Amino acid sequence: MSELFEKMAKELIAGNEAEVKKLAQEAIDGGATARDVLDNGLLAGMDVVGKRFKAGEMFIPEVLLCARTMHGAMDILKPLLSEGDRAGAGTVVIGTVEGDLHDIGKNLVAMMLQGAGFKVIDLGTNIKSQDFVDAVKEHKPQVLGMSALLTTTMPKMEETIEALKEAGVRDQVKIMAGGAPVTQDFIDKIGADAYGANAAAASEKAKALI
Amino acid sequence: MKRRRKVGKNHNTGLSLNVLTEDECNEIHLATLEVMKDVGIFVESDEAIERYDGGGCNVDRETKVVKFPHYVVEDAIQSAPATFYAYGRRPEDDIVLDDNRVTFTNFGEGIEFVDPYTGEHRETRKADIEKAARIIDYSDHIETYERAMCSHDKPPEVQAIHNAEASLTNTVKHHWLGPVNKFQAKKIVKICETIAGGKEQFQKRPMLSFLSSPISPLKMPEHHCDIVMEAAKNHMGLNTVGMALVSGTAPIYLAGTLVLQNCEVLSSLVLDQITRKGSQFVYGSSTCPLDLRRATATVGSPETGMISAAVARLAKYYSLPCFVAGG
Repeated sequence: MSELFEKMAKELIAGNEAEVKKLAQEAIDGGATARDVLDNGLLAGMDVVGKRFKAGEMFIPEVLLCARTMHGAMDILKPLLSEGDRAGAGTVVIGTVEGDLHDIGKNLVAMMLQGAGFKVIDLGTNIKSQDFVDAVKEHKPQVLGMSALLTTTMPKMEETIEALKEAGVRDQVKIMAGGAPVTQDFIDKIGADAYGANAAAASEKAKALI
Repeated sequence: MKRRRKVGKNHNTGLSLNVLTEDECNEIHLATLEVMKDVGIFVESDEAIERYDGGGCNVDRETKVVKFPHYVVEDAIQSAPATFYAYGRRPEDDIVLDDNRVTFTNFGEGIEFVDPYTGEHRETRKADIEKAARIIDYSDHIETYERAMCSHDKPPEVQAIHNAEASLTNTVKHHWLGPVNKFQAKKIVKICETIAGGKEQFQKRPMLSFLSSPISPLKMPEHHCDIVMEAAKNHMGLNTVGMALVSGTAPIYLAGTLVLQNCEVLSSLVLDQITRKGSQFVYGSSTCPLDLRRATATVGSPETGMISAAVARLAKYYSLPCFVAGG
């Protein structure tokens, strides 16, 4: 079975979705649990992808391809996984704050988080505080990520944290924020939990927060 | 032995990086018109959508997508002046931008720097802008000034206003400044009118132009629309600076990126000319590749130089002044 998992991870790193799906099905048919396949086959492969990306040995389109391959294989596993396991490493809700339409940074972070095995709910851009609150209540994520590129929209992050407190859900979630004008000082000031200076750092911080 | 003066001789001045031929400019232009006609651009501002509608565009108020008939784009390119008067505080500080003329500006908005007095690597503050403006004011070869840094020590909602005050009080050169949103733009116009001695005087010799950027791919956010319209309404210059990320928010082929950016800049031009026909407009570009290993914008890359050279050639094709990243 471990040989099968190794092959699965290798095919995932190569981005061969059809092959990975075939091997995943083979593993399940051979008696492996879905959780096992996820952890030792798929996530093991994505772990290598993450390390290589961090080392500058893999390119973003390749990482995207691997993430897509993994999620293709998840289609086989999902019906067999428990509710909690389906979320993989955890659930992250992410969005760009109100008044801001910038999304490339957020999209890269979402991609990295998916690659790290998180279930990512991307709300999009121009998200009002209340919508963040509603998303936290609905999806019960472990982590909430907020992005902003404009200095004038940064204050919305503080507003969202206040809204979460008022709704009584602040303690249920860890809050990460990022974007060009955001700094560690700002994070400390508004009471967020972590700051990621770039997409790779965001993914590491998210893992550490859980 | 006598050698007489030659007549009818073609001669060259300076050096030029000829990235695009006339035919290639045609191809980029036609591709742009097709995308603007069939795909359109997302316009967040309702006021801008109304203006586009009145200006002959096809607007969908549900999806907020505006599509452009060819003639609307061509008309805007025609009506924008080929010569940009970058007014300074006094006539001797004025710079004329047209045709093949080249001059320099510093760039902005520096968010961090190494303090030259303490050696500390820190975020920039209002007092830094004052000093930077003085240095640019003194430097003969830098003939126009862009607000160099950001007043991080002021509240985010009004930083652009503080940037304006710090800059305007320390240099006589023409200013390029990003007001960020309508509220701050209006305040900055008031400051400029006060400095000029009145609304009329400012509109005759506007010493400050607004900088603003669309978002790639194909988005005109509300604050950008507002700034375009404020610049036009107040008889100011508008410098629309494209900032597409090759392979990130724009195609990996440089020609494709040029087309995408062209759609965004020309959409801004159309709004500018619809708001006030004949408004002064600059085709700006800070477009550069997204580094696909480090997920960062590589403003100092060779491709940035190639793109900048191509934009300069494209702007000349349109008879528009341009503003491009020198590195």
